[in-house]
Amino acid sequence: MSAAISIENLVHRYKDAEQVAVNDISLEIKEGEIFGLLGPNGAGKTTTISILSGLLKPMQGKVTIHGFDVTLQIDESKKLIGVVPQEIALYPTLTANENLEFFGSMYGIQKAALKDKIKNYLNLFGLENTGKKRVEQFSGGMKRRLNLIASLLHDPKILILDEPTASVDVQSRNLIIEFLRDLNKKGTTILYTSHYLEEAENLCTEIAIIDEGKIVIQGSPQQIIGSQPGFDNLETIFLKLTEKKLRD
Amino acid sequence: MRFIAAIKKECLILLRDKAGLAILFIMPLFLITIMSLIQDAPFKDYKENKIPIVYVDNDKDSLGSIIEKGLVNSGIFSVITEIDGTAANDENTKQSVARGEYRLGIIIPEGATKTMNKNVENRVDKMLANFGMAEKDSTVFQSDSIQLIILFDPAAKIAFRSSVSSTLDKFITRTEMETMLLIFSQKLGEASGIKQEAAIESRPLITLKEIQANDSKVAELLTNSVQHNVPAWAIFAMFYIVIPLASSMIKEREEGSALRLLIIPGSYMTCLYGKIFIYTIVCLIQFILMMMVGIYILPLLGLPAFEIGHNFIALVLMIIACALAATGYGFMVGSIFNSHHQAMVFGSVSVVILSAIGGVLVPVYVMPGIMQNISIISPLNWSLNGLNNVFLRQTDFTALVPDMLKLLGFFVVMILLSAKFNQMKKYK
Repeated sequence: MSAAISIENLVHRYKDAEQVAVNDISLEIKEGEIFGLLGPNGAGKTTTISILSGLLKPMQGKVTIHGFDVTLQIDESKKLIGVVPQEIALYPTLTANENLEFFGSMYGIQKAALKDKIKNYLNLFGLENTGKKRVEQFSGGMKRRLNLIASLLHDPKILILDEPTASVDVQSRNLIIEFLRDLNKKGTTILYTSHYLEEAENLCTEIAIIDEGKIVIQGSPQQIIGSQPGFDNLETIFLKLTEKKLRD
Repeated sequence: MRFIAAIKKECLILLRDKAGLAILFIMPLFLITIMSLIQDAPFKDYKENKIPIVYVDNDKDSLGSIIEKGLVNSGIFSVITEIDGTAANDENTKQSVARGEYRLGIIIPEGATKTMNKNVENRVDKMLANFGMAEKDSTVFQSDSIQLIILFDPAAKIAFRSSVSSTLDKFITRTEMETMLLIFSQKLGEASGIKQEAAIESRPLITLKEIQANDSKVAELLTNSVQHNVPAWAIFAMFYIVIPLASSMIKEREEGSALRLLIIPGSYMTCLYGKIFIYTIVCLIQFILMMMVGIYILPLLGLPAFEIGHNFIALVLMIIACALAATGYGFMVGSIFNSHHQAMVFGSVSVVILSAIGGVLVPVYVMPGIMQNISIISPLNWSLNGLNNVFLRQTDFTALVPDMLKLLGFFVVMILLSAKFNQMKKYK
C-alpha cells in the first residue's frame, strides 16, 4: 500500500511558546488505514492535524498528502482531505440543510448531486427530520454528527478527525464509530485523534502515541500491547508511557 | 456559484440577526430624525427663529414706536410687551431677564422723543446759523443724552450680545438720522420761505447683497439642518457598519466556521468577498432609506424636505465609493481584533472620532482652524464633502474625483491590511 500521508522530521513551535509543540515527528499513514494519533492534552496532536490541513505552516520538515506537499501544493492536498475539527465548525443560525448546502457549494459540488448527498447523509446519521432546524437548536450529539457530515460532502480520500466523539452520548458515539468503519471499508483513509483509548483500540489498525511533541510508540494495537509485557490494554500502556502527571 | 453561495449564506445570517438589523437600519433612521430635529434651531437663520425681546416703552411717543416698529420689521426679534399677563415694566423686565426667562430686554426712557427732538433741533439750528441762514443764539445749549437700556440674560454669550447691540445700534442711528433730516428740511424750508415740506427719502443708499459663490439656489440649503444632518448621519451609519461586520467576522472565527472555510481550498477568500459585497449593498440600502426619511418623513415633523440634487449618476458613484470605504474599514477592524468587546469598543469610538473630525457632528466650517486642518484625514470628511458637492454645490463629476479616489484608495488599503492581519492570524 502506498502512503496516504507522509510526515518527515516535522517540527513546529508556536510564536512566543517556550516548548516546541511538535518535535521531529516522522510517520507514514498508508492508504486504507485507520490511524489513531493518541496523546494527552498538549501532546501535539491538534498541531499535527492543523499542519496536515494547511492551517499552520511547519517550521521544519516535510508533509505530503498522496504526494502533494501541504505547503507548496496546498490546494491539491486540501482537495483530498476532509477535516472534522474539534470544535463545531458550523453556522448556528443556519439550518442543517443551509449549512450543508453552503459548505458543499464551497467544495464546488453541483446543486442536484449535493441535494442527494445531503439527504442521504442526514438519513444515515438520524438527522432526516432536522434538515430545516437551525443548528443552534441541536443537541451536542446532533451537532457532532452534522459536523462530520459537512466534512464528507466532497468524498475525501482521507478523513482527518480531531476528537470526533468528544462530549457525545453513547448512541451518537457508536453511530459515528460504525460509520467510520464502513467508510474505511469503502477505501477512505482515516486519521483520528481521541482521548477514548478503548475506542481507539477497537477502531484503529495503526496507532501512534505522542507526548510532548514526540512519538513514544507506534504500531498496531496488538503490537503495542504485545511490546509491553505485563500490560493487557492500551490505557495502562498509555499511562505508563506518558506518565500520570496532569497536563495543561 | 461559490460566490453566490457565499452571498446567500451572508444574507441568511444577516436577516436572522435581529439586533444586527436594528443597528444597521432602525438606529440610523432614529438618529437622523432626532439629530435633524435637535439641530434644527441652531441651523435656522434668524429670520426663521426670532429672538424674543421684552420691550418697555416708557416714552410712549414717536421714538418709542419707531424703535418698536423697527424691532418688529427687522425680522430678527419678536417683541414681547407683556410678562405673565402684566404689561412689561422696568422692574418685571429686569427680573425676568435676570432669571433667564428672556434673553433680552430693552427699556426706552420716559421723554426720549422730546429729548431727541430737542437735541436734533438744536444741532440743526447751529448748522444753519453757521451758514448764515439763521440767527446765532448766544446761549450755550447742553444736550441731554438719551440712554436706552438693554438688558441681557447673564448667561448670554458675548457674541450674541454684540450681535444684538450692533443690530439695535444700526436702526437707532438710522432713526436719529431720519429725524435730523426731517427737522433739517423743515428748518431749511422755513429759512428759504418755501412752505412745502420736503419729502425725506429714507431708503438706504448703500445696501449689501448676499450672493452664493456658485450662484445656485440650492446652495442656500447649506445652512439647513436637514441638508446637513441627512447625508452626515447617513455616512455615520454607513461607517457604523464596522460593528455588525467586525462582529460577523469574529463570530465566524469563534464559532469555528472560519476554520472550516480555511480548510476548503479557496473558499475563505470567496466568503470574504461575499461579505464585502453584501455589506456594501447594506450600506447602499441604508443610504437610500435615510434619503427617503429626509425626503418624506422629516417634512411631516415640520422640517424642510431633503434636496437630493439632480446629478444621480454622480450621486450613485459617490455613495458606492463611501460604501466601499465603510465596508473596508469594518473589514479591517474585524480582521485585527480577536474579541467582540475589543472590536465594538474600538469600532464605535473610532467611528465617533472620525465623524467628529470629519464634520458629521458639526460642520467643518464652524470648527477651529486646527480641527479644519485635521478633518482632511477622516474618510467621513471625504464622504461628506463629496456628497455635499453633489447635493449642494451641484458640481460636475470631475469635482468628485479627488474625494472618490481617496475613498477607493482607503478601501484598497483597508483590504490589504485586513489580508495581512488574516494571514498573520492564520499562520500564528
